[in-house]
Amino acid sequence: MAAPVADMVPTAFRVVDRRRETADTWSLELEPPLPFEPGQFTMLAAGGAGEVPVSISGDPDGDRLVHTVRAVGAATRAICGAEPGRALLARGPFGVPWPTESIEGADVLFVAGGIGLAPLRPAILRLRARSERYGRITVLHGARTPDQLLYPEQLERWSAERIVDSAGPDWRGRVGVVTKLIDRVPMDPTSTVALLCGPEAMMRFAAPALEARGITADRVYVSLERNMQCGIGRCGHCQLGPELICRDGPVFRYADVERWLGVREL
Amino acid sequence: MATIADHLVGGADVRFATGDHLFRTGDVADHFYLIRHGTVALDLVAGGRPHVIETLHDGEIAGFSWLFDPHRWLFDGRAVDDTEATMFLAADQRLDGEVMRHFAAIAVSRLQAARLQLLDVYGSAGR
Repeated sequence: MAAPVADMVPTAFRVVDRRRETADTWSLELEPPLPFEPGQFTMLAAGGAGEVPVSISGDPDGDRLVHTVRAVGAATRAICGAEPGRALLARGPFGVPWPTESIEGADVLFVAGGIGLAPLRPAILRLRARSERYGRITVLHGARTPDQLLYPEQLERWSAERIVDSAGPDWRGRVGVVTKLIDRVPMDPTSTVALLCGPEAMMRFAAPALEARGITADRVYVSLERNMQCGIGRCGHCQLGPELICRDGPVFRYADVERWLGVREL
Repeated sequence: MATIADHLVGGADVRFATGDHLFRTGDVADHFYLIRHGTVALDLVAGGRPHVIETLHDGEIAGFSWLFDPHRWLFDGRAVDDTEATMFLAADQRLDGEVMRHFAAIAVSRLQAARLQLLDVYGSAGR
């Protein structure tokens, strides 16, 4: 891998494309490209509005750095508002990536909830580009409503199963929770590894649903999120039990973090 | 593994074209369906607008209102696709332990799903 951006010194990236994904979510394509592994994140900022951790959502073999960001606060609103030509500042890439190499040979089940599809997309693209190294690749995506399903064209291309929490009568797809897809998706549990990303509550429902299908917690990987500040394991803000999410994660084997997820104030 | 279908009595095959209603809110619920092929949406009209609260698919049961008072449908059941189902009459069923165990398992599964929906996890701030 080429040398990453220095740990604490941000580098300027130019916005070359900006696309609205949903009512409050935007994808920004930046140059120059930044070498990364699927699942890694950067600390991203629109100057003066604060820095936030954002997973990289583009193709790991692509020629642009892509972030998909939901505008929920001052920093993310400023990032999402960055027009082409403007500069954003990024540090990284940081974090432990999805185990794309160690799971070669397995069937891979991706379970994405909401904008959790963004951190999974680089892994999906990597595995599909090297599909001869993997078994069946399945993508499940749950969202609040049909218009909040991310990357609809790619979902179609991936033959992804989609489900939404609620919909109007014109929606012809599934309505329910993403665990319902897990209950029904064809799989051989003995050869399947699951990669999950989404709201923590969703993942905590999804993991038992996977276990009920025979996929034990040691073959389930999750991407977690906490209040990351430094991104490099120095400040301690993102501590979860003995782990620092930014340094030891954000990708963890579910069996290793399950015990911490139900602890209050942790 | 035994399914609920193994414990149900009677049953008549029925077909619904896209848009047909299997049942409507307020009507007497004296039967239920096992969906063999297709999709059924459970619609709730609120504020004058219909909302799909769940879709049901192959192998799933549509209809619980026959089990309890007042035995009236709480939702509309609408065929989203051309749907084939088996209709069972409530009066024919033996509500023994095995049947109730199956229905309870389905009810618990849907309760957990409803709880997760209530959390509105996708609506909260996230990455």
